[in-house]
Amino acid sequence: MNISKLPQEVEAVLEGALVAILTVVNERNEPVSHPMLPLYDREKGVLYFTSSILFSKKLEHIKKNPRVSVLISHREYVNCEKYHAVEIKGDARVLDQDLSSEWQRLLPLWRRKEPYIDTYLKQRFALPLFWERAIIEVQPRKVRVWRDGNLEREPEHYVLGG
Amino acid sequence: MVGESDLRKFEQVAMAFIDEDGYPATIPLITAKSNGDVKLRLPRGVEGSKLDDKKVNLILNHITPLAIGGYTDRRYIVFRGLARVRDGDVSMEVEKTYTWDERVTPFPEYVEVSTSRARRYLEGIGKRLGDTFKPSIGVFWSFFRTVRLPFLIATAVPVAIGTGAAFYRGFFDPTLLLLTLLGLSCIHLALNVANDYFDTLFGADTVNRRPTPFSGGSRAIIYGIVNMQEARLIYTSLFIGGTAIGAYLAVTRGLIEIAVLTALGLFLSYFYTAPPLKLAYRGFGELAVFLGFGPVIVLGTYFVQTQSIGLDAVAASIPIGLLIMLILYVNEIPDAPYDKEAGKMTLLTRFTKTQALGFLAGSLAATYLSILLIPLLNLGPASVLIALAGIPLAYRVYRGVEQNFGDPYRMIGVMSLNVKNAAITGSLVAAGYIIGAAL
Repeated sequence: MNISKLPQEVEAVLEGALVAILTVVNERNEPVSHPMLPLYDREKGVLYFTSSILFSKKLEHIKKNPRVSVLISHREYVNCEKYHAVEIKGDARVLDQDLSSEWQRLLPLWRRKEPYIDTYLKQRFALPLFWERAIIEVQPRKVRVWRDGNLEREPEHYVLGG
Repeated sequence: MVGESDLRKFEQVAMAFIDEDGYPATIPLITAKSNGDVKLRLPRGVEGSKLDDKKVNLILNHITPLAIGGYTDRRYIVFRGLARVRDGDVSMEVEKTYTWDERVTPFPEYVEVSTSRARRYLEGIGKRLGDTFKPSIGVFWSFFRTVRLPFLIATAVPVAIGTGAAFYRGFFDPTLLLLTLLGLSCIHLALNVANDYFDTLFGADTVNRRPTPFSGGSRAIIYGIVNMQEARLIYTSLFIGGTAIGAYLAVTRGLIEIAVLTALGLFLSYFYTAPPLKLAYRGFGELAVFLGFGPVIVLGTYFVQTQSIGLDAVAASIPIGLLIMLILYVNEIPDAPYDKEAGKMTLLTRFTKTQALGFLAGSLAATYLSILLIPLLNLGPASVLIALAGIPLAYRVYRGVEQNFGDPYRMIGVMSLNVKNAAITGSLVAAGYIIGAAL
């Protein structure tokens, strides 16, 4: 089904997810997966991740091949009323011109998922390289939804902007 | 490949592959227990032919969500290799596996082993944008970390004792006290930066994967907060500043005595890690710290005030020299395996645990015995005995070291307690002299 915006139920899952599996493509065209904290901006319909430069291999991979996919699954890892398993394929870009502060615009979204984050941020001097962070911005293109997380049921497919 | 016990450790099971549209796909897998093993099955809507005989990665992931929001207890394991799919059942020819479990590799250690990647990324950005990038923590925190500012307590307390001992004899000039404190602080901070510079140069800090706020150096050079040239400039400037103040005090208060003590302080500070002597690398670090932070600082401070040196000042310098030496000693415990790897043969690298604890107990006992001897030998007032109130704290330090020996993160509390013990016991000695003068 072609849609212009992610279905609201999917948006609720993205907003409630504590962890997502982000898969990028390496130089040998193989998938490489990373558990990451997803941050969803409902207004823009864009999914964000922030990555410390300590763990920057994925950033290099995305710069060479922007195609990524994101999976949100397992009921207990998603704080929302109606859980669905969601896979999103999308195009990513890395924002790393200002590693020190640009990612901080995502702090309101981050704070909602990890309320204690400011306590760590106040001690930035303790782990300075951890707080040098790039933004990974994912524009969703295709969505696959296993309703109620039921993997035995045929998933629903959506294509964005198609 | 995946056993039932894995399913208890990892709830989220997913497989990724390159889909026909060129995008990677990441799909949840159905798991079913079967005779101790786990069968992995594709979910509906994913054709087996898309994965069969293709490079995939299987990821097993776990977090423990917290009631307050957020999560903890992160771990994952990734299997990479070729997928085999038969009637929707998935198996793999595993080529590579990697894992992270924060209970096994605590996050600070994970960060530490990834530092060089971060530095390379910053360098890459710098080349791309034509600039130099450093971790952004502000000028104050950069200075704070680079010079290890909180450790100035190790200078302030012996200066207080030297001043207290002089005050007991009726001498006190606040301007001279401030000058002494400033000069000695410069030399101490220079020592800290020079220590980092040479420990980085010789690899002792670089190999340390489990630094703490008390051990493993400041990390300022390793994290790129300052580069080697800047570190050299900082310690050279601080040494020059300290020497200049020492020279002024020598000219105004006593040329030979102050010049000798300043030169000795500079010598011990620089050659603590600098070649050719590299005192700390040869097992003389503790002795150097005892001399530098005990007799050199206390006698220097005392002389600046009184223009004389007596046995009373020497006696006053012993306990604090031992206590500051013990700050270094206890902080070196978590560093010992890495110091050994880098050839920095501190006392701890040569001791067994029993010997290390014996040295600690002996030094603590010597500290309080030396306090007891001050009035007994008529070298100071009986009121310095109030410093014996530090004994329970010293005992807690010993017990803490004994219980947490070698575990860097569990030792953080003990290392902090040990610094407090030095500060409190040392301050009580200084207070004892002032009380003695007032009585």
